[in-house]
Amino acid sequence: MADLFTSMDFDKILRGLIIGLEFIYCMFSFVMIRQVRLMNSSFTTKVGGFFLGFSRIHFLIAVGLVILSILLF
Amino acid sequence: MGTLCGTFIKNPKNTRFDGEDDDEEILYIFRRSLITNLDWIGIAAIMLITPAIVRGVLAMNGLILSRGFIFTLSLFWYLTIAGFVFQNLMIWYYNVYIITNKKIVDVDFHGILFKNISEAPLKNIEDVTSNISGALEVIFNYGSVFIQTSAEKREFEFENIPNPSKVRDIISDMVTQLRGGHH
Repeated sequence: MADLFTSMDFDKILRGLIIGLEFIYCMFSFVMIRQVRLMNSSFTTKVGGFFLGFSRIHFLIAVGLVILSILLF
Repeated sequence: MGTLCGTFIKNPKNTRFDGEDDDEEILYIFRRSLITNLDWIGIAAIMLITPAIVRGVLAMNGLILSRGFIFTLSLFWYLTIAGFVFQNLMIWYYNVYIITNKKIVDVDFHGILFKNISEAPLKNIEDVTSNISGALEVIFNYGSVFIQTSAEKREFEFENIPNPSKVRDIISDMVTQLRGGHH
């Protein structure tokens, strides 16, 4: 079992898998921005801008994470 | 704070909804009781402590991963938790039940891909029923209000709102008042 976890192939597969998941998460966070915008247009309050700002920052961090992972792996 | 975390808001300020008329006034906004958020808060708490457990298991088995790998993996994990919490918070915050001086409105968001808005004029409301069932609902005084209407959507359900008996009374009084005091 330990051999499986330490083998180079497993390491590469794991890293590729994580980058793939991070990429999917990026798309999810982008959809979330659109959804918060839709929610804001359906029901508008004072804190709507804050939520939209948070969703944008969340998306930027997700994009940054994919780039960081590609550089570090 | 009231508008941010409120579940029973009377005469909210700076609040509008899709389809609101110029001469329409929002009288009440209801959301699901705060206690109904405990399930996803619990999941988020478990997710928060998971990395520490995983690190312990890996160390016990003598598996050492590179610092860069652990850093990005941890960052991804905590970002996922932030996204999970944010998504659930949004769904709770934007799932609202609105009573205006003209109609009732049910704004529903399920997940991030489903939106449903229903409304019915107050004059079309025929019957209002409140329901509290279960230990948690009795302890924390929340439950559902069922509103029968003669509009296109026959029944509205205000789910898990605080103080359902009071909400039922408010709606009944408004309908009675609209009909000139006659049921």
